[in-house]
Amino acid sequence: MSYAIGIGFLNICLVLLLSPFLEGIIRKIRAFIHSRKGPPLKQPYYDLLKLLGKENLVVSPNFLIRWAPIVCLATILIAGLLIPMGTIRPPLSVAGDVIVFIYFITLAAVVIMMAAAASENPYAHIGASREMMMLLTVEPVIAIALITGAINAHSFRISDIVMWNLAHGPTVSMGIAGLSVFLIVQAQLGKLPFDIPEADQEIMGGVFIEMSGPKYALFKWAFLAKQVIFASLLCQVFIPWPTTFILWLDVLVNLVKVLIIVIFVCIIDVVNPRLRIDQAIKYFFIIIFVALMGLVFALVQA
Amino acid sequence: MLQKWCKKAFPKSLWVYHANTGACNGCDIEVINVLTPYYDAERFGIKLVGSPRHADVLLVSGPVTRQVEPALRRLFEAVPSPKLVIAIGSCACGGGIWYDSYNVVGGVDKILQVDFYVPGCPPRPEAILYGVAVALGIAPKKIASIKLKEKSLEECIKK
Repeated sequence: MSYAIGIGFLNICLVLLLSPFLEGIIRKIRAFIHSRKGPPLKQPYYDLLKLLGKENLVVSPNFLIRWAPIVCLATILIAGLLIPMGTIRPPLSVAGDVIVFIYFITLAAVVIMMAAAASENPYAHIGASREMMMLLTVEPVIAIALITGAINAHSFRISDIVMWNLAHGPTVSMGIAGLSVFLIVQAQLGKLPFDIPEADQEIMGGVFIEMSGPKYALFKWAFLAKQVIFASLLCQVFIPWPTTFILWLDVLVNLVKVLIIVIFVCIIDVVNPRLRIDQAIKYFFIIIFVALMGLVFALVQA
Repeated sequence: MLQKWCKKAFPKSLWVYHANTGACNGCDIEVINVLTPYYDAERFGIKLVGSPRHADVLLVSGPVTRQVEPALRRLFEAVPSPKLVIAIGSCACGGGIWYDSYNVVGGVDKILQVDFYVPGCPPRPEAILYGVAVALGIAPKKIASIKLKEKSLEECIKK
């Protein structure tokens, strides 16, 4: 029990405290590609602290706007506890499996959408409708990819899927599932070809346009935490290979893999323009078919 | 303690909302110039944001016309405090060549409390960066502040 609490504490630390640092590295890389100096690595911490210290403007009497940021960060933290980061068993594995994880990740996006729809800003409404379209096409891919693993391992537990993957080596079905998750990570993290709900130059921050001070800080923090969670999901569940079963070494390996994936995501972000929502949805439909192919492979092998 | 940290972090990440209150676009182009990779304002943590709700700094360019005055007041209220107002260009500083025009209220300081002035028509990008650096406390001020003191009655009698 105390072991699980320790691992949980580690996960929370990684998700909350390390994620702004990763963002700092991303901003440095982006600055390097633009051939400029870029902000210091601590910049995201300053941004979050500054936003937390600002006035919390009441933009609408609706309670959704007040509670949405807190619920969003909380769901992301619980999702972080349901994903292994350096261990085989996630710390909250007693409470839930793959399906609970999908629920919580979806809830975070739904909460953002509801907060945007509750504010009385036309840009926020456009952002909310785009967010909904993205949600309906992106979430199925992650669900299909994780269910592919579940069919292979005959279990919905993430630890069983990881153990099956370690025992059977790289398989076609898990490879395809991993690929489709990698292609969807960009959209889940709100990075450039798919930052359609936020779209800074187009709809001025979209879903977050009415969020001031601490509210915006919590949403931002949740997005930064998502980076660590999705990168960990990808490199612990679908490509868990250098696993040594020594705790500190596994955590270190996981961090390096997360860093590599985040750098990949950043480079794709810098060199791509934003897609329109219809183009993005066409692309996601192709990925859904790819992920379904992985599911078929898993069924044939079983 | 957290509040202390927040206050310390404020000058290190200033997010800027740019408001044009009737400028000829000259100052706007120079403001955009500051954000290009050549001048790279992001190294000070300065970022241009699209919504006043996210902003810390209100960059105002242009003389304030009668039409835009209520909008500017509402814009100032939409920014969460603590906030700074920087007037960019001669027109924003005091009305410029339109100081007595029938449709112009005057400089930004007639409507809002302006914290920093960057004069020039248009101000060079270096000048804007210098102004922001003074605001951040990175660069010293060129002009020393002048304090006027009232002499006491006794001092006057002595002379």
